[in-house]
Amino acid sequence: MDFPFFNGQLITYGFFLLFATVAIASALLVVSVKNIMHSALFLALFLLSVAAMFFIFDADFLGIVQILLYIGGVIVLILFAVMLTSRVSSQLIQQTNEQKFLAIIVCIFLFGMLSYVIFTSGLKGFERPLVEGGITRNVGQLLMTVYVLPFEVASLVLLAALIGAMVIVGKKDE
Amino acid sequence: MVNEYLAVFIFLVIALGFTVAGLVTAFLVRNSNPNAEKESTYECGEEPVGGAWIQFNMRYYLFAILFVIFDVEIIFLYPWAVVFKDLGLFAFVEMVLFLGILVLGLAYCWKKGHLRWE
Repeated sequence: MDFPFFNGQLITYGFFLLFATVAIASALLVVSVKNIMHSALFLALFLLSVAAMFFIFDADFLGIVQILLYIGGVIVLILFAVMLTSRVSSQLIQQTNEQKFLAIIVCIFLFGMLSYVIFTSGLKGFERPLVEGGITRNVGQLLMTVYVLPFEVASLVLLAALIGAMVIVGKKDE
Repeated sequence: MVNEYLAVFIFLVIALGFTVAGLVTAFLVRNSNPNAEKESTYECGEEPVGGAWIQFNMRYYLFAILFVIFDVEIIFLYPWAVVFKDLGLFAFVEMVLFLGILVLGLAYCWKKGHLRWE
């Protein structure tokens, strides 16, 4: 029964490799395509493949957050920001990558730093989280019992963000 | 866990395959005879006016921000909805309080006239 090539872990690895490849390819396209609108759409694809990786590693709540907030919210804001800039109508928005070499150096350093942190932190890959009934259920349970106060304070933070945004953006209606 | 989301993955593959197959079939079957009129942008049968890439009205951004704020709120609703039945009235009151505070913000925007489109 314990056939090494047909157990779930290998399939999980396969799916991880698939989505990791999509993520890296789309991330490279984000910074290399000329049209800034296409960049934003490839960013959505990148975020979606990261969400898929969250699902693969049992972090389904994070996956939902990734899809709802990053793809639903952040991409909408980025697309709006692109559409609202005045230069969009004259088609002048083109990705130029003027600081290419500096960016590559920074990326290499960031990669080295993150690798160092990950490999020295003692994290073990492919370990099932020790929660029963799924992460979302546990998050909900804790949010409603132990962390009630932070939960309610979060709504106050959102209220502040809402009113702050309205005051800044909707100025002329005073 | 892979099994639970296998159906989602199959849907993804079918959706991608359907799109690609449709485009490829259309590419193989159609004949190509372009002229200037055919290649112009379709705008409900009218002559197109200007480009499609125009600068949007700033007011749209306000609604985008509103959407993002309520999007964050939905993140809190989602784990609540999973455990809501087990925790009963207490969780319900908590969520009413949470939503009540946010409705206050929406009421403020409404009162200040930010939601009105002029």
